[in-house]
Amino acid sequence: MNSSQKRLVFILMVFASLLLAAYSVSIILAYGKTEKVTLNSFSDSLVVTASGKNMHAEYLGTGSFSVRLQPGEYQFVAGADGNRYEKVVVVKKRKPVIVSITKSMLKVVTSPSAIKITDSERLISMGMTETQLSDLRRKIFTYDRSIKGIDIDVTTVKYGYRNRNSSDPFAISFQAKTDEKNRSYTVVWYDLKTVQVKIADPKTNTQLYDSGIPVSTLPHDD
Amino acid sequence: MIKFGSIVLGVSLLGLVIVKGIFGQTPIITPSPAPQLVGQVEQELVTYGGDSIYVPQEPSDYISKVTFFDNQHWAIVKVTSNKPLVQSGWLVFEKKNDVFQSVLGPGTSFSQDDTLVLPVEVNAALTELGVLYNE
Repeated sequence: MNSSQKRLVFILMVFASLLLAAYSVSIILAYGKTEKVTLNSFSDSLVVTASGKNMHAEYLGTGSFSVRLQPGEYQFVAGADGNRYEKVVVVKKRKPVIVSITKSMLKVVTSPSAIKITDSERLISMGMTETQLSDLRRKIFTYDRSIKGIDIDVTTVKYGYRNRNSSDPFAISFQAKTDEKNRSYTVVWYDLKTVQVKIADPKTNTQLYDSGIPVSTLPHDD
Repeated sequence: MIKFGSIVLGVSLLGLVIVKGIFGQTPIITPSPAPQLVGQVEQELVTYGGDSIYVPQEPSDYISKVTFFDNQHWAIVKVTSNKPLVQSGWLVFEKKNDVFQSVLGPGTSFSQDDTLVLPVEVNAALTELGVLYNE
């Protein structure tokens, strides 16, 4: 190898070294601009994506894993087998984030018709119409979109009172497990299509929700 | 000269291995900028299942058209695939705590039952678009 060839090899070596050094520096810089986010999923098949404000969505990983993200607010969506879970995750510098996804956090679909009401036939047998049952689902959905189902305790179902000659509405009250939480329900109706739903916590007797009297049944001046 | 070059290259390689070992253990995700709601729409269109996880990207996979309602608190998004013979889909988003979350869709038509919880103007817009059906 003559001296000019040696010089060329040397230049190439130095150039390659510079490229490697630049790549190393870029890794360190990218590391410094991001923070670690650890996902702990209950299922290995849970697929997690993230979208930041005014950013494209990115696939982060499946199951439990760690990634590094630039500081900001991200919406995480985890999904598998038709279930999904949403969570807003705020990433700050020098504050590693751990996100835990448990089975109970998953919701099946966001639709009132997907809410399962077990022993709903008991309500039908007491005078509720199918249309009112759909309205009950809608009101529960308005109260909390993540509710998957309510399990009525049939032994607690009882009538309110109704005087046909008065403007008193029909009323049914019952206890029901609502996604494993005990809740008291009072369902009131003035017509055959809509219902007013009141949900309370029987432990503390605190009212959690009142859908209000349906607009169509409010008294009006003729 | 070559010996010196070899040492420099070796040191650079070793440095990269060390840097990768320390800083490259966790993948760094850097999402690219996109117009409002695009990321959320893409998340709704992700195809899950097995090894075939795919996050569609606008505009290479689809084009979206967003219409806002109720002081930008609600949005109806029309999604048109770039693949021929694929029907346009619709999504409805609600802004909660400054974040748009999917309320309805993606779908090509929805039950009127599922849209009664939406604001009147959103419901009216969906009706006008002809994407609602009676159960």
